[in-house]
Amino acid sequence: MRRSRRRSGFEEPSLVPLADMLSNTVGVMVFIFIFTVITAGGATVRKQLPLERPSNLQSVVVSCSGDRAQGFDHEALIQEFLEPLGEPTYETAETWIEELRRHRLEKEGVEVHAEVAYNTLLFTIVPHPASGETADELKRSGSRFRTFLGQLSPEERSIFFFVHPDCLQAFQEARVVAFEKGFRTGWRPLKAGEPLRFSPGGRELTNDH
Amino acid sequence: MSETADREHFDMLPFIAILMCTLGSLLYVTLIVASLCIGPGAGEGWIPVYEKGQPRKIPVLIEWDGRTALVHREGRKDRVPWDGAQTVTLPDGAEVLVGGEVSDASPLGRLLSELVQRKETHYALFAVRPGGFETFNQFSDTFRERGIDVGYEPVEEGRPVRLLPEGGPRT
Repeated sequence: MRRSRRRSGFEEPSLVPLADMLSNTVGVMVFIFIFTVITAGGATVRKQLPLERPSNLQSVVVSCSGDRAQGFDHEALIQEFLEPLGEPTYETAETWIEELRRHRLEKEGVEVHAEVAYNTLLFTIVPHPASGETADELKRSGSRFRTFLGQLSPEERSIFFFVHPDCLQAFQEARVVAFEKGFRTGWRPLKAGEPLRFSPGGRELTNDH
Repeated sequence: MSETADREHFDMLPFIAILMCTLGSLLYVTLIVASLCIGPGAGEGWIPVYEKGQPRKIPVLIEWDGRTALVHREGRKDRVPWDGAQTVTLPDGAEVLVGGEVSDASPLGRLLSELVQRKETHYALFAVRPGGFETFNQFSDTFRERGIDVGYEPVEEGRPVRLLPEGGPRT
């Protein structure tokens, strides 16, 4: 065999260095791979964990739906809704309720309507689907949400978010903006498509941050 | 003469091609896994941060997906079904799931008893998945009614979440 190679003048090179190089490269890549996965997998979020507590501040509401967040003063809207209806009396109660059911208020990208249910007034606020701002829009320094918060005092008001399942990003971003401005916040999950409902004896709007 | 020269030439090009293919494949796999880990598949490790005046209670992390609570304990996770939940039809025809009587012997009953005993020092911290939004208020009322403090934070569907000790790593 050795003799025949010599005769043809061909020296077969050894493949050992090549295999060595290949093994080294694969080894280094596997090492990088493991390191990357371990590092990335250990990503942590340092956060002040929420703990629900009653709020002694008057809340304003932010509706988070369809990946858009929109803030409004629900109590002012309800007040404005009730204003043209006047005060009901014992004699006018029935017509007052009829008028209440027919009445609509459209303002600041939301529609307010009301009904009497479970022996109490139940106000429903429905934000228009295209109103509000996306997570990217909320990041801008001149966003409408920042302007809205700029009109409020963190010493007097807290921000309460109603969050639909399709709006986690916009909620997180809007809450960051509220934190930056020094507001206390709270939130409540709503099922998809559920409108915002308020009634005098309803669930309390708490803070958790 | 030229025939002999051709025969003597040993071509290394195929081996370089093999090497490049191997490198490319490994790089591809690395990038895919890394991007999954950093992007949509990235887990969240929550580290408690307390502000002045905030009660320093110990959180017990509970994932809520709408039907089952996944309770994080040291070294393990326990599945706790929503015992006692029942569907109620409202006057407008809508059906809602509400909490009912919880048996003391059920996993949820045992969890509640455990938290009631330690309610001065511990609280229930819920990681609420979008699938659990609809029923969360009713489910968490089961805890509130027993005087257990609650906290809750939304977490994307499928994203792993864990609680890290105070003073843990920071990103």
